[in-house]
Amino acid sequence: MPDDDPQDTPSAERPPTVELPLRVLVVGNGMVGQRFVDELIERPDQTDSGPDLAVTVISAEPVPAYDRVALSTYFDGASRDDLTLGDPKRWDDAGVSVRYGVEVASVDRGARIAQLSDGDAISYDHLVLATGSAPFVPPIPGHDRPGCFEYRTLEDLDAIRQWASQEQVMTGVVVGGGLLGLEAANALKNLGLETHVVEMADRLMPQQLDGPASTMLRRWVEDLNVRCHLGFATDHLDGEGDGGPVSGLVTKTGESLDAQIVVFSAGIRPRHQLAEAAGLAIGERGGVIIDDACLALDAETGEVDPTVSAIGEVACHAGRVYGLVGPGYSMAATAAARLLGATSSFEGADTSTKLKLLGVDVASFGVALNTGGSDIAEDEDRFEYTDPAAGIHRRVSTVGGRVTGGVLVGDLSNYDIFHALSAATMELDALGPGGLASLIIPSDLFGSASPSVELPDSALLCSCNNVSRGDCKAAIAEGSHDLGALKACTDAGTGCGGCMPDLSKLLFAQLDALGVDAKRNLCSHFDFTRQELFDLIRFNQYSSWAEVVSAHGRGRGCEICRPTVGSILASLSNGYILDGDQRALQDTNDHSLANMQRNGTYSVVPRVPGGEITPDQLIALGEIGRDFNLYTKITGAQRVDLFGAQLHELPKIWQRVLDAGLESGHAYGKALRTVKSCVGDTWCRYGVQDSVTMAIELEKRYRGLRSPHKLKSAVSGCTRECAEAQSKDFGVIATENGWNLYLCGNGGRTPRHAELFAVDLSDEQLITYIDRFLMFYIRTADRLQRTAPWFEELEGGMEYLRSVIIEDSLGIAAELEADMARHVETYECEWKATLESPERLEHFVEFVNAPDQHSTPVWITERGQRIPAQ
Amino acid sequence: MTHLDSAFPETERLHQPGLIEVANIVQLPLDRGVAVLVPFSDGQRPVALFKLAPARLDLIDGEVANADFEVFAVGHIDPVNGAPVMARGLVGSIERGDEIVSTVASPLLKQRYDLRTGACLDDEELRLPTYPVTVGDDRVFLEV
Repeated sequence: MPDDDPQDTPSAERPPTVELPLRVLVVGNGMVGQRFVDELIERPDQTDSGPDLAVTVISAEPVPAYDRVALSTYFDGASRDDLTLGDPKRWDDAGVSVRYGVEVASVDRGARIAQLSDGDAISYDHLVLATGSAPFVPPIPGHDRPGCFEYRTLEDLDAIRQWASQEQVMTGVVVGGGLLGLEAANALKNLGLETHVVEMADRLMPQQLDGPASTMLRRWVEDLNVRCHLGFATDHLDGEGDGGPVSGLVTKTGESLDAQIVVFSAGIRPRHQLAEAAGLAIGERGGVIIDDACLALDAETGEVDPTVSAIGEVACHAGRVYGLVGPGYSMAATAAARLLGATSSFEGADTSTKLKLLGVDVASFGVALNTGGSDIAEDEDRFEYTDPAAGIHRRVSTVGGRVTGGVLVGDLSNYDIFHALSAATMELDALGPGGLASLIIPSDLFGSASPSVELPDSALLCSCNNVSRGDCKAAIAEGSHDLGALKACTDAGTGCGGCMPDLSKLLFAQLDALGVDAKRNLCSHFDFTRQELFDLIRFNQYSSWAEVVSAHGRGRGCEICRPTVGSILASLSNGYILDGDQRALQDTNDHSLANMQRNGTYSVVPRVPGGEITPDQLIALGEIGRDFNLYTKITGAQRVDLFGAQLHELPKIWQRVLDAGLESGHAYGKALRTVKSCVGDTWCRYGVQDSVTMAIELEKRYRGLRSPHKLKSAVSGCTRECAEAQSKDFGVIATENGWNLYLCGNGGRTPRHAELFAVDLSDEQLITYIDRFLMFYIRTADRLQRTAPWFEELEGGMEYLRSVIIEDSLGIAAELEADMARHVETYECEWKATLESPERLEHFVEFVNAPDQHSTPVWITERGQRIPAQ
Repeated sequence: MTHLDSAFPETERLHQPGLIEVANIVQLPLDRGVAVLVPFSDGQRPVALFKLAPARLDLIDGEVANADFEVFAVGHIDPVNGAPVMARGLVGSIERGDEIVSTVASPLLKQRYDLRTGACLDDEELRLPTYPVTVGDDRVFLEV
């Protein structure tokens, strides 16, 4: 498509009724440019009208668009893939063509031709400038020494990581204490450097926070070992000779700070040079001036150029250049809608921010600071709450009875109410008794006594994607009854993620109102969530269904709660799962200690820990398969699966398995399945640890552990990762110093990569953390919830998980370890336990009144093996 | 699809014609099914028997008296795919107004059936055959 140019076709040959595709040239493939193209190609599904489009994207960076807001997670385990935005296949299908690693050198607006840096020229009907910003590096002498970096692109981060990996690089300094600077500091901290932040102003985040808020933020930041130097005006950067690597910063007053790596994050400037050269109007403080239609203006005439739009950080609207992605997305939506023939306008955007910076909650809304800086204005009233011990500072300002803005540090309760008030989507008199004064106090302090205020539907819930509370409510009413569906439907929560707790609250409140089981009560027989039931069973030490249902349930239970209670009892080490009334709780597979197949026969899966097996054991399995005529297959979990066993044959088969020295593989349980391994340093020339031994140890420790859903694991012997540990519930990758632990990866319908949890662990630390993690998950997950969705809903995410497991913030580590110890101590192979007991064996009879009779499934043969007839 | 063996052990018949003893009540675990082979006039059929505790489980010294049980008999073959598995499904109960409906869910794909009427709660088109059960003297009889 990019090679076709219909304009070249002589008019005589063109049928007059054919509509030519509108050629849209997008300059820039950052977050906003990418969103713009998505909006363009998505809309046509919703409206039948609108022109055909031929979209070309010019990307200066050599990679597809990625989430720049989440850049610092690149050093926290996120891969390039994790950060990549959008779906290249959708663009391919829509005929969008992308050129990577090339820039637009100049534009001739009259002829509507763009000249590329590689010599090509592209004609367009409409040009969209989404060139974003460039980091501002102050022209301090020495700023270009080796070891000085910008903080904007993945290439920057790769370079920073490379430089920081040198032994002599131990201290890093970030120049700039704003939002981005603190993010960069977090990144350096994740690299293990002693980290400092220097800022010229007397406050951190000087654009958003006032003095007291900054003071509070600074305490938090320094608690995390990031030292802040305010009022620090760098004069020059020291180093060896003229071009040697950086060794420190020196201020105008002679203060010095040693550093072997310096990251500049002192602001951003719009990259409007291309527009300026093309004769477009540029704002006083930079940026391509646009009107409400996001169209650019001619510099000379001041008139709108209907063939050029500018969106994102490069644009200047009503005198403002926005450094946030939310307004950029709004501009992208407006520009795209207009190109498709719809009416849409951008009338300015909310610059409220609510985020977690180095683990600290920070928010600002409305006009947070007066033009005079952080001093109070004459007609301004302030409602303030400060708790220095807890590191909390909250301030809401009003002028003339209207909320104008404010800042919150350390506690963000009631943020959405303040935000709605400052955005004038809510009135002050809608507040209950106590008004603002009661809301300024953190809501945790009063629990249910805190005032409940109903926010209007027009209030924004997600500012990154401009989603209102009303939008969310509509989606819920139309059937999005869980967080995943709601996110997919509205896009809320898919930007910075800061609105997720609010989204959760809204979802559950709405489900409640709709009469849908909001609290995720297990089923109609129990008014508890699985988590609550787990606690009840554990605390009361129930050991039977009868006890549980008579104390806390109703009726006879059902196929939902019975297996759930059965699983909980089993997780808490309640003995043979088919004894007593537990037998009546077991689901299809557990009930027969085998996996039921479509024709009522079963499969047999012996445990092969770590995937290591002896030739004799392999032969034994082969003989079993042959003697019982079982379809044999090797599974993805590195073990052997034998299919087609009838109920009454199971005991005989398992006796042979046990005789071969193997035991139950628990393929039939929602339990630990396998711990895969690569051969590791035993054999492999690249291996750095003995991954097989560790995998075997882990598998033998956690075998038989029942959990809300199956658990899969793997241990890789080096970073080549041949055991694919990163797709596992808990995955281990060897390093030279020990083991890296990754958590909450899942395969299945919606695969998700595990996230890096901890690095360079010893064998003991590794096992301790896994013990705690598994028991914590088992204790708190919902029924049939795998670790990935569980993690996604975990408020506080990875930080919270680390605090619970590593720092024991909930004080339950000892309990979790004790629960796991009990599991390890009481473990017994279920098939061994079955075969040792005539009573238990009685259940493996098909017809109780005809023990020698069996049904006879119909079989056919395929590739030499017996399979069910369909 | 199953093909049943034609040989069948001796069965006792009560004086009443049409009643066949299929099991002793102690062979039936509580709230769990067992399968029996039953001779009908047109051949043998597998039947799933369920002994259910009263829907409200009131513990009386930890034991529930035999007389308070309900015994149901439905076809053992899953109507969806023909596999002989219904006795291996999980039992449950649901409230329908004042009524409590006892159910069994197919172990394969979990469709729920009313144990009294055989009707499938999740798909109108599916149905399990049901058989009247009599329990006398700890012996379980089916009407054929």
